[in-house]
Amino acid sequence: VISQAMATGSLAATSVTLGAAPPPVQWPGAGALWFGLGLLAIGAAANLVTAIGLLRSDDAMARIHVMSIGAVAAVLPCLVGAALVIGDSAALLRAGVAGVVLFFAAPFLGQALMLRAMADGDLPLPHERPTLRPRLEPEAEPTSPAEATPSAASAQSAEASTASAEPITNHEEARR
Amino acid sequence: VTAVLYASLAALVGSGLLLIVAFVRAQRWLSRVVVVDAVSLVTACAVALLAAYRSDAFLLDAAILVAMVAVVGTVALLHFMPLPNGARR
Repeated sequence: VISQAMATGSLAATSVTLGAAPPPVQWPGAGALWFGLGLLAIGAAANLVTAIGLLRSDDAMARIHVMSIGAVAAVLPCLVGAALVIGDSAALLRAGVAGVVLFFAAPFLGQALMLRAMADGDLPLPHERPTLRPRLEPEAEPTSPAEATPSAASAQSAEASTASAEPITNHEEARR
Repeated sequence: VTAVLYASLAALVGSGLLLIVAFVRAQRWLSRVVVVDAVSLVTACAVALLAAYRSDAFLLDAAILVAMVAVVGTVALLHFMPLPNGARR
């Protein structure tokens, strides 16, 4: 009844008859059909990309990433696109709700896969994982009093003379 | 319209074949679980495609059911399976 009212524009024009099926709602034009077909094609292509990613990835974390993201990216457009092609507003509502549920369930899927991979030893534990960049080393303490309090001119000249010869440390790189 | 539907069907069939190869090449059981989950989602998309081709809303409901069972079932399977070596959560 609500979909019929939405199609006709008002509730007053809707005839409510108990036991009688409402007339089918006609989509406004061919735009919804082509939009649904486009969504279906996108979903099928996302399925293909997911399969290629699962086939090519050797790392467990990469597979989990492909699965948890590709699940939503592949299924949601397929369901919504099929509902648009069918032309049923109730089916579109059900497909949309299922897509939202899948959208919120995908991170749980990734989390469950990741924890299981850690428990099985496929993935290193967080404290065993190597850091992405080298740690910053503390600055070296001056050893002699002459090096501890140099004059400004001598410090500048020493810096200028050794600027090209000294290797770049991680601390200087981080400061830049 | 038919060309788009057949192209989507070809993409889904190709996905299924690639996933079969990935299942055969997988060596750990968790990798096979991931591939089986992906196969279930490809099946859901194929059923949705068939529903669009036949304009059948009940088939679309079946596709929704397959997708939900695939995702929620995998999460439940991984959560309730015992951990190796008697470890606790």
